[in-house]
Amino acid sequence: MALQRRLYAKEDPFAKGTSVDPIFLLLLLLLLGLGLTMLYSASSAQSMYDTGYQISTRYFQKQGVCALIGLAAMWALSRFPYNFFKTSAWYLYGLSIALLLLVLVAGQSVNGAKRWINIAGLQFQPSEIAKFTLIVLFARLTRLYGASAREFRYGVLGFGAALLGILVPLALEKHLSAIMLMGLVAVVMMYVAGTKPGWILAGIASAVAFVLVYITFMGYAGDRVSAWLHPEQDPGDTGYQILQSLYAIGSGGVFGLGLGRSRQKYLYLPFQYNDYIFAIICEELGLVGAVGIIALFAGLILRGYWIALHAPDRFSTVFCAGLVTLIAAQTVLNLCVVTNLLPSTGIALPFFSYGGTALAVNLGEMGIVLGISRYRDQAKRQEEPL
Amino acid sequence: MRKKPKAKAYQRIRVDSAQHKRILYCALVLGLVGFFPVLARLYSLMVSHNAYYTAQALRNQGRTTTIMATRGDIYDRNMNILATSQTVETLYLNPQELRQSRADLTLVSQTLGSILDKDPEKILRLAKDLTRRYHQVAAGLDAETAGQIRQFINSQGISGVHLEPSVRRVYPFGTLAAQVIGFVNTSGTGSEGLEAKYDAYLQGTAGKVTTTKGNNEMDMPYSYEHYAPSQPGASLVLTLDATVQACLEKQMQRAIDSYAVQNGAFGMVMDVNTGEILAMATLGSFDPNNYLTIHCPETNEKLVAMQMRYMALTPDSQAYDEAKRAYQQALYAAQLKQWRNRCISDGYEPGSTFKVLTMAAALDCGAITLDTPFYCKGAEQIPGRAQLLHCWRSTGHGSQKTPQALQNSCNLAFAHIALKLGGDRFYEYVQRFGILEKTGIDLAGESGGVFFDKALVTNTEKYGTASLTSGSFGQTFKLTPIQLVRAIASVVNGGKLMQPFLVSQVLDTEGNVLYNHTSECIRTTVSPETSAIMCQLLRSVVAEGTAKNAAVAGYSIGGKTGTSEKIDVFDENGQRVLDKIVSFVGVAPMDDPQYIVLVALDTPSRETGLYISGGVMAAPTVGAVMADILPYLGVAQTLPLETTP
Repeated sequence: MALQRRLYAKEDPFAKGTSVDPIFLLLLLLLLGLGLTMLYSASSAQSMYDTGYQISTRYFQKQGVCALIGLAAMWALSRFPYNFFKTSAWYLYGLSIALLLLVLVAGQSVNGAKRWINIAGLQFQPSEIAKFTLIVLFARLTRLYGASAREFRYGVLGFGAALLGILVPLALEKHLSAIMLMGLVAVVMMYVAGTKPGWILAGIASAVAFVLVYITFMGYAGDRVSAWLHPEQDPGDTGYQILQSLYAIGSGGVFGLGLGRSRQKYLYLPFQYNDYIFAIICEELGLVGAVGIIALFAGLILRGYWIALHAPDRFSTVFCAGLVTLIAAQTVLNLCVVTNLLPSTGIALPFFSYGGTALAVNLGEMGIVLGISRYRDQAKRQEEPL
Repeated sequence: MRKKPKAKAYQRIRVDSAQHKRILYCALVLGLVGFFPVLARLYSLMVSHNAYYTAQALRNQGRTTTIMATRGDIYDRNMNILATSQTVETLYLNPQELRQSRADLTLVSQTLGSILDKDPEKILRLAKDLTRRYHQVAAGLDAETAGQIRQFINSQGISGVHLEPSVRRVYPFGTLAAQVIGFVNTSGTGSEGLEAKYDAYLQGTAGKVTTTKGNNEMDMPYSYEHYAPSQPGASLVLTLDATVQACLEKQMQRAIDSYAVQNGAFGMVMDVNTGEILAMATLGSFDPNNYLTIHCPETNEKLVAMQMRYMALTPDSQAYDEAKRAYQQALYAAQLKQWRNRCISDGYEPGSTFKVLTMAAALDCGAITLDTPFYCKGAEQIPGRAQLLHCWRSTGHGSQKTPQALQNSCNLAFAHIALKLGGDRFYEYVQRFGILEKTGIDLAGESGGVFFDKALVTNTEKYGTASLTSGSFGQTFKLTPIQLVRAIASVVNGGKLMQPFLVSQVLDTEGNVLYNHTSECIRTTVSPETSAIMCQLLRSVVAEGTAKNAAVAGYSIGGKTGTSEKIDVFDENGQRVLDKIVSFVGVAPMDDPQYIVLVALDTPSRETGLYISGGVMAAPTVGAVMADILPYLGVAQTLPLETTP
């Protein structure tokens, strides 16, 4: 009780039973429903093939269970006081670094990458937790630094050090997509916190330069770039994935082949049920369906930022904006990869792509946004500038 | 955070705060602007380039099955079917469909096994193999067998057992005119003869069914289906008359049997006025229904023996390989030989039949008249020839005039005719008679003959007169039978060199005429007057000369015999074999020539005791053909029957 009293604000919306934002919730449930439907469609052929033409729902079942777990987490976290994260930000940060390091020692290899960990029979990716704790910590730091985030030692060194703490173990895992995603989210949150844009641009420039030098020395830069720019030159090997994706998207036309009628999902398009599920959506639902789903995502993201703007205090504002940024960055990057605007990286489409941990964590995070949305009709708390 | 005047402190949303402004910018970029490139890209892919990517995707997923077009028929001039296509059926199983329909696989395999006379175990294994959607069980089923299977499927309500129609080429008359008609190979393309020449018409346009399949041949419930129907091929109506053809082949076969002819025979019947080929035969024939089978029993026996020999050897040993290769080469050579249409593809020495052309040329240009005298003492030193020239009758023909020279087929007289004619005129007439060119008959595989270089005949100063004089009686050069027949036809028809042809019409499936052949005169060879004189002379050859054996009761027949040695065939010791080709070209009726008949017998046996000559062997054969076909063709008998010898 003492803890609860300490965590809850004076005008406690939970006590009054204020509801979560219905628009955000509706958009979220629509996306989840569509996501599960399309996952079933996109994975059915692979499931049939894997099970010797017996079961079409193998991937759908697993995803469905994780969706239920995620919904439960969402419900719980929407009633959970977000102040808990503010106070425990450093502990969570430490815990996720520990988990990331643990993966390096005791992780499980899937497809040649060591990113999974098994705790009490539960298999999950600590990088999903790390993304969340980074956002928590950055929100906490924003609250802590306040206006001094404009100063180099806070706005750049402070955030930078916190970011490196997560990125270094990820780099050791060679988890490039997670590094990119977290870098992007961190940059956005630093901008929101008030770090001068000039420094951010300089940071991005140096990161890009580093990556360029890195991949040049790794020796496969040419291959990757040419496979991205000219996939048709090697349709059987390096260009295969992206060409199959483009065939799926392009053959969808305006109205698509119809729900469940994708032909590329019959093992032509690899990763058709996770990273490249959007290509199957385009093939089945056409431009109309694809634009509709993009509109839902855009609505969810805009409404998410709206909730951030209506959050009661600076921590919740930045926390909420960070969580929404995470979803937005994943969505935009995934769509750019699937349509070959960016080279292939391995970023999933939230709520659609197959992946239990990611779905559950994403839903949990949305639960936190929903929790913050309960304060939308309340006056802002006036906080002392630090 | 920038300090703002508290007076306008925002109650609910502090857009005045710099942080909130920055969040708004983020919202605009990540929630709106960030999607613009994606939307533009999607529009480009799915709308602007939709057709391209649809085609590419289909190339990926598409599985195209060709529907063979029904090949057109070939009819003779009386619309008898010479070649047609029959529908046969292919039986296949779809194991997945069988499983879904819960069919009794044991019953299915037992029944199919008993109908098809196949091992039910094997069929059962195919029916249980779920990795495929298509397992062929039997092909080429006739209507009766297919009917039994269909009845079984329908009575049991089985789905998953399918019959698929396909097409087989059928030649109802078997070997009749086989080389002329040709055959269709296993891939459905016409090979040899008319089937090859008119393949484009007969073939039709194949249709196709395109469906889609998943990678690893996964089944797709929502497949793309595109059906393009096939366009059946057009039919040919020939100038060939099956009855005339049968008569010709019958008499040729009789001659082969009577004179123990070693190397087959060839012959044809042509309308002299139009160039229509009524019959064209090469014996040593084959059955186009089984075109790979060697039809000649002796050759086949030899081949079977060769096959037995290599099969008896140890497989993969050197001897085995060599014997097998020898067998295969022999088989291949025998196949090529039996498919060959010698009437158009092979040159031969025409011998005395060529004298018709020499004499017509000499009369036409006035080098000789009917009264020009010749004297034959059996052998003579011709100026310009190194060797003494012998006449075929060593005792000589004595004093004779132009008609007797032809009747007696006197070589010495023709040498003198050639000298009077001169090399230039001789060569010019040979050219006019079309000996130097292919006739352009509508058959695949026509070759030209081998005639002397122009200088050899014309430049007698340099090369002497050997080529000119030998050429005048048809020796030491080669022409094709069709060239000879066409040229002689022009001599009797008033001087018109006709284009020989076999296809008079091409009809589409509705019977509309797509192509109509009209007879075509290439050029004139001799004057009508010369032609009339030649008709009388040719008639006198049968009436009084070497070809009395060709006479047919009631008809006025003309013609010319020929006996030629094969100059370019040698035995193992390098000696010329004395093999002969005996031939006769007959024309009837002589008062108004209509038909020309050639029969040539290759290498009659020297052991029958008969004198090997065109007059003895080929003339009666042509006579017999004439006796058969002239009444059939409606040629009136103009002579009293008792005038025949």
